[in-house]
Amino acid sequence: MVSVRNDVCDRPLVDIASNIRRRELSSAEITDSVLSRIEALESQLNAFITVLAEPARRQANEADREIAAGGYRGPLHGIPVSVKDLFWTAGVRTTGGSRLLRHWIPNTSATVVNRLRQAGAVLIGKANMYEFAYGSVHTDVGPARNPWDPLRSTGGSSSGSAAAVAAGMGYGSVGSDTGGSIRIPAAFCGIVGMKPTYGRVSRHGAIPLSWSCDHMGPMTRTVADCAALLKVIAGTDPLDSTSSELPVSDYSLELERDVSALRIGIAPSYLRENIAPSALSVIENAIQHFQGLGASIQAVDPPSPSDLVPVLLAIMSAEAAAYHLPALRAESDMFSDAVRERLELGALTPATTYIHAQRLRKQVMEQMRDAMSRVDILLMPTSPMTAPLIDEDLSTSEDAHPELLAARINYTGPFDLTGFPALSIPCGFVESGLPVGMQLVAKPYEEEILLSAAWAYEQSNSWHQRLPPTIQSLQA
Amino acid sequence: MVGWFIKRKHERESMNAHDNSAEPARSTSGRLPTDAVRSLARMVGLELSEERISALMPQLESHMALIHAIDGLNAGGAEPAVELHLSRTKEPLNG
Repeated sequence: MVSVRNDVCDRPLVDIASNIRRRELSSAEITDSVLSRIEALESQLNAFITVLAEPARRQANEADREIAAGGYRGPLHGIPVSVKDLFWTAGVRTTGGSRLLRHWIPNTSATVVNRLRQAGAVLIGKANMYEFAYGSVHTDVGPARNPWDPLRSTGGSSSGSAAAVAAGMGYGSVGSDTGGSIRIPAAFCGIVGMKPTYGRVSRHGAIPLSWSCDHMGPMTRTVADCAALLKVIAGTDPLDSTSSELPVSDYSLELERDVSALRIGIAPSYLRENIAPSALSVIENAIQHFQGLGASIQAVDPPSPSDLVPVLLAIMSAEAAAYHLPALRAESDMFSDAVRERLELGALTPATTYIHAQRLRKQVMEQMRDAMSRVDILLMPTSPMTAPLIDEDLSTSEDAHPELLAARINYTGPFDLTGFPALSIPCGFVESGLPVGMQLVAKPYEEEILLSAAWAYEQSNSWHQRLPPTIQSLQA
Repeated sequence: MVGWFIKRKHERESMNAHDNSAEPARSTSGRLPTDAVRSLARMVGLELSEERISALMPQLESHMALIHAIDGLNAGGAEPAVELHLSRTKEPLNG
């Protein structure tokens, strides 16, 4: 029998927001419930680097006082959320999942964190992550574990964010995505994860991996929750020179757009290359499901991942090395072996290769736009695989394994390179009970279309309501 | 489900083992001399020990093979995807 989400910790963010707004539930009660859930599961899942129990309780009480006084700020007011531990938090350590920054306490907060607090959100903790978001876990921190099977990887690098959200340890989290670091863990953990258009969400105050490829975005259990969280964190920011000045929609109001005439592009090079047959079968069912909703399917021919992922890696490796070079020169033993190797590889990447990659990038952005000219969205798997065992995962290897890294980001990396918005949504389970993620991609700044398509899909099935076994065991 | 991934990992390890047995004293394929890599690293301020070089060589060759795959792609007339918007600095300066 399949268990569904009915505990207060497992209900959607927007439902809890409605209860808080009507004062049927207090933020203090909700926050205590979430802290109890963390206390019950954290030893199994290792989702957090820092849990902010007392500050969260203070923020919840403050939210309740404001709401009682008529000062309701919106759907995030009084809602417990987390952020990946690469976002600066004033007065709270920000480790980047590393040994190097294990004691670092910033003086100021990231724009994302400030926006969450301005919206009245309760910051419940700093989520576990791969070391500097670069493919591997530092042994000081240890891997986050997948709520669907704690022996399995969450994927990464926003590993703790995905584990926390899937396990009801907060109603959402903000992660970062440079090659797939929001979408892959979202797929492995059975939640929604969105990488918005480059420039849509400020990067200010997020420890960079690759300035020109880093994207910040929401991770939630439902599409409506994703829309609510995106609305709060999106928008122009003078502190990020690449931040867009385009206005931000009220994404929640756009969810119910008619999608019966939706045109979906399917590209063979993004559907059948290297994917496990059981995952492909789940994706093919999702395509049929969209057709049942009235969508039309068209073949498209965007630039192939086998061309684009090497371009991304040339840029990402060089930019990551440039950022970390001072520490690599002075304190190289503070990095894990695998991350140190990746940074050394980046430092040896020829400048001409980096520049050639940036030139190609500009060209493939146009090619991607052309390929999508007759469709509204692209549909493909988020990952060619479901969650691997932690012991066999790239993230726990001591070597950099460039080829394995490239394979892991085969479907997600192209959209970090081009900056197009992309979202992963649960679309079924394989026989072993692990979730499969479907990726939808839209044209730049068309997050509304992405969210409305995902919402229509979600509303017509129940994948998002399934409860991971880790939580079922609490209720037994 | 993860079979293809594991297979590739094993293939990679098997490939390295084969290369190492063929040329134990040199880089795994013999294409990148270790002295040259050490010199290149020194040029960016990194001192790599023998041990580090040994660990790095197979990864470096894999990395270089990956990124040099883009050499054959034609960028046409595109300039790098980096733009300077100096017009944004004009308004505050004119006050």
